[in-house]
Amino acid sequence: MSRDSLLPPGNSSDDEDAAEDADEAAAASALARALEGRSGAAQLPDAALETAALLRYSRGGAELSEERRAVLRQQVLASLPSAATGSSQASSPHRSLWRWLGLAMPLAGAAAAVWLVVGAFERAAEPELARRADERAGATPERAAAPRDDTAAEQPTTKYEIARNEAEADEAEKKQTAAPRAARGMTAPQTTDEAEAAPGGARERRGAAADELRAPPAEAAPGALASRIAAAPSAPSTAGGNSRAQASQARGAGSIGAGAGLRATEAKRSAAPSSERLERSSQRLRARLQPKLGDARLDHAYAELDRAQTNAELRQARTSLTALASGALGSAGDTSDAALLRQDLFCRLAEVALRLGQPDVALDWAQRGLALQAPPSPFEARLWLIEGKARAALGDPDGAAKSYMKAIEVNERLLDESLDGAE
Amino acid sequence: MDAELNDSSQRLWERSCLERARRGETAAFGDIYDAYAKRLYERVLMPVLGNPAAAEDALAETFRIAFQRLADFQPGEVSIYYWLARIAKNKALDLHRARKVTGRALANFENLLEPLLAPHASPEELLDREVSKHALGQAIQATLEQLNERYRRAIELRFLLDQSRESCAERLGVKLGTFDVLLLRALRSFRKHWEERAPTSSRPPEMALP
Repeated sequence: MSRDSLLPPGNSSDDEDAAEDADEAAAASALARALEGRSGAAQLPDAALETAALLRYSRGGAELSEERRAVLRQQVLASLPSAATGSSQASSPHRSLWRWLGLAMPLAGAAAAVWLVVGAFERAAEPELARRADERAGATPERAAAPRDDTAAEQPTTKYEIARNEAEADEAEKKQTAAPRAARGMTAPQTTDEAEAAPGGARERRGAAADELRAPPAEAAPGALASRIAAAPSAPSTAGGNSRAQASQARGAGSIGAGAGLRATEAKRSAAPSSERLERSSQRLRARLQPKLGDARLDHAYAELDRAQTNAELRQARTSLTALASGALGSAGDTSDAALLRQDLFCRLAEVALRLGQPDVALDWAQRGLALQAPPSPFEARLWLIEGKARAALGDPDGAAKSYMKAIEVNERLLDESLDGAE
Repeated sequence: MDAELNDSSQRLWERSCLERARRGETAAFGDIYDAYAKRLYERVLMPVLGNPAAAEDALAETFRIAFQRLADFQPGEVSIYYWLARIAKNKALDLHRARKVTGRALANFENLLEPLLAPHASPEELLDREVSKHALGQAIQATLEQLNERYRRAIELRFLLDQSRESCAERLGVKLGTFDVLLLRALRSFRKHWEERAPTSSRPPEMALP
């Protein structure tokens, strides 16, 4: 039995004292989440939820309080069409139809016009955008014709992404031209704040780097945001990889003055935001922490997961990971390293669930991992990312966007720490 | 059928409210809301949805729909409450159908209440059957006594004393995840004993009302 005993010794009046499997654990956590008013899940045990609802009903949990009744009354009455009575609405369906048509037709016309204008612009700009994208990628025609590998698949591929990168480059170029002007015409900054705000100052350096990670609201779509948050630097403690070197390069470039913004941005761009980068920084942190913890079970479980190809193998690996998730990691109990690795463990369980097509389970594992409140790390960023993916798969785009934004925030924090640590 | 709803003075008052509401007086419609919202919520919506937030949404939507369709309602021998109850029930069933999209955790426990309800004599009564709280409490207590000590404690702490998961886990001396599993098993066990005590009807899960 992997967990502490569910029943007292000798009490076997029910047949539920067997060890739980992963499905039962997932159902239990889905039930717990539902009972706390959070969203339901595919594995939600309906019968148990109904029973729970009955029990709550029995103790008065189904009563509508006077306060809520009054609030709802206000909402209902405020939403009623006060000018038109119910009878007049019901007796004139044609008038209602024409009113809708009257609203819909101009909207449809406007949408068509926008579509035509945007389409024309795209057709005109497409060759130029493609040419400039190839130039930026340094691609020869042969390379451009070559099949993309997995990493290349993470690079900007749509004209929107290319255009966005162009806009960012333009912004960096503006900074580049502003820097010499400042050097010629302005006195040296006198205060810390001025120094920070000055071209090439720390604020600009951080801002330029953060621009890479910050997505505008319009990019709250999972794909765009996911690609952005993947620009995660390693956690400061794991620096030594490319991210940190590139961040330092960006900082160094910034200190030169002229062209600082451009070089910082270029350095960050060359740091190639990719989901693989986030995975690699997680791997580095994991590789550093695992030997310190010295838990062979974890090593074995991870190896099993890394080998898993089929769903059956994934489920087997999940069983091992689930057993680990419920107990202490390492011999010395829950140290801070163990807490981080536990977060990683939950992250991997969430990833497995996603791979198995169980976004609800993935969401639960991700939320459990985030509830651990470990220090900021690439694991946390990945948990937010997975939570976003799970929410998107569950048909909750707003929630997904929020999760992705959280992932971006974590990455920004890691980036700031990385830059500050390198200074 | 409920005597209060069937009272002639009550129906006269309803007609007066309806006429004013049809003329666009939302305050008159507010009076109807005041009279029946709580009853609809507790007797119709909660047993079908089992989720307070969803029940509130359905209640608000019920009155919005009712206002839009006031012209359709023909006052007859029965209270407008039953008409509202039909709308409410259909709305609740709509929410069940939309579960996959909304992800809302909904629980229809009407069939679990069925053994405690008197046989209904009319379609209207089907929409407005009150469960005796006393009878329900007794039945639940009797079922709890059939469970093993640990399961009973888990259910009492979580549902009857309304303790948080964390508090329940601490008081039972288990980890949070273990408590979740324990509670799931306890609920399954409770349901098994509940159904053995009084077999529930085989209610169609999504019964559409006319």
